[in-house]
Amino acid sequence: MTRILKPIAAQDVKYLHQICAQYFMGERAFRIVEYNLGNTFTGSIDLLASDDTSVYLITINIADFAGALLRAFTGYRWFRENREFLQRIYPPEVVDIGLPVQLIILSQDYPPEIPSIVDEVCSVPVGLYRYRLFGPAQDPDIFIEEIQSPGGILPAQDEEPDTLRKRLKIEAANLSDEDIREFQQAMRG
Amino acid sequence: MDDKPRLGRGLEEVSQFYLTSGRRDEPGRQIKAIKTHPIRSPIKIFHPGSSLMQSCFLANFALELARNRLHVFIWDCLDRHENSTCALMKDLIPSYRDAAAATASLYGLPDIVIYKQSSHTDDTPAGLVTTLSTLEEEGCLLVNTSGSLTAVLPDDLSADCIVLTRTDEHALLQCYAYIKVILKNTSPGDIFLIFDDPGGDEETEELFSRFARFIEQKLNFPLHYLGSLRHDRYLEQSVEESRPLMLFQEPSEAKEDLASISRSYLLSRQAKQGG
Repeated sequence: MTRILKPIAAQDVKYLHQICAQYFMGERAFRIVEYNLGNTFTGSIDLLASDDTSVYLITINIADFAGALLRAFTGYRWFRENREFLQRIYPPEVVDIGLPVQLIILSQDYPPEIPSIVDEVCSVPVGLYRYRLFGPAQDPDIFIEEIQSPGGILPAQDEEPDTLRKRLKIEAANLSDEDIREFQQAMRG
Repeated sequence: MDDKPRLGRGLEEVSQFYLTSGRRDEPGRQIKAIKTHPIRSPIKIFHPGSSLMQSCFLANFALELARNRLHVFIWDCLDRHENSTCALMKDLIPSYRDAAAATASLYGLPDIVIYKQSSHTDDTPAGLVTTLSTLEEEGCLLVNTSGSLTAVLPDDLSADCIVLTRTDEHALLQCYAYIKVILKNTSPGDIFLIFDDPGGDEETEELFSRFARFIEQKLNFPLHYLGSLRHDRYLEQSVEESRPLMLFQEPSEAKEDLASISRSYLLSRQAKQGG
């Protein structure tokens, strides 16, 4: 799991969109093209972003996950139906609307198994990120971690050698951390 | 009568599995068996991930050895466990709970005698090995190990070890730990590996090569591969009914694998002893 532990000071949770945008610009080198596109009825996109390879439709969940998922899907449909219109609005040097589209959802919590379900069901690549808010409500820090990259679930993070030794009940073998890492490396080719 | 291809098993082979409380005295009867040289050393069976599969494998392996005319003794360290050898062979052993040793009698085949660890002293296995060495007929001692890494205690038994393992990385890491402890605490003859229930697409031989190469580099000890044991509904049924799979008549992938694994082991012993 790619874990991004970059604290970002915020004055208030209402600035969540701006903070997430800052994360994507800083950590993922995205260009943020627009905030809050569309509307609730026809579909909306919290952040429209891009890089040289893709256009990203980013949904930030601040309530329930099911609602955010629906917003992400309707936002995608709205984007597809209005592509020509958007191409006229945004010049190619700002964003190439014709690039492949990826959906990104940020949420504090996810239902179990959702990464594999999304991976199996969706024809459009979907990236899932978890965010957590820490500290006082007036000045929280936000931590963001990627739990699924678009197009595939990230490989599970290796357990700590000590945890592995206990869970597998192999302490008596006295395998060192180095032994375990060498083994993992050898078996993964 | 000419040897002609025939459907299914002939009566000669099938009759080996009929059970009786007494042995038929028929010295002239010839049974097709792998020509083995005496196996005098014990064989320890390990399955770091499942004592149930360990005992299940051992029960069927013992039957295959008996079918190849070997006298089989079993030293059962799991005798107080619900997955003891006796529990998995109880269909063959009437009133096994009361006895310190139980006997599985098979029609026309050598008996299989199961010794329960809790009813004997710790030097009994060594005594059984001595008994084996005095037998005129071939025989072997199978040790159903206790299923815990800490119980792989130093002992004087020089034994072949058969380790069953799943193919996921954690199971193989557990297997690596067991092999390390086996090498440190005991004087193994050879160590054999069996993959238990490998996934359908698993390149098991490639996986074994990679694992064996690593073990040889790290522990300076060669591993031998006996094959993989696929699971099927008959294997599950055999465990539920406490009846060894080798006694089933239905065609079963798991049964084929058990027979093939046993044969590979016997052939490897034959090759080692210059047969």
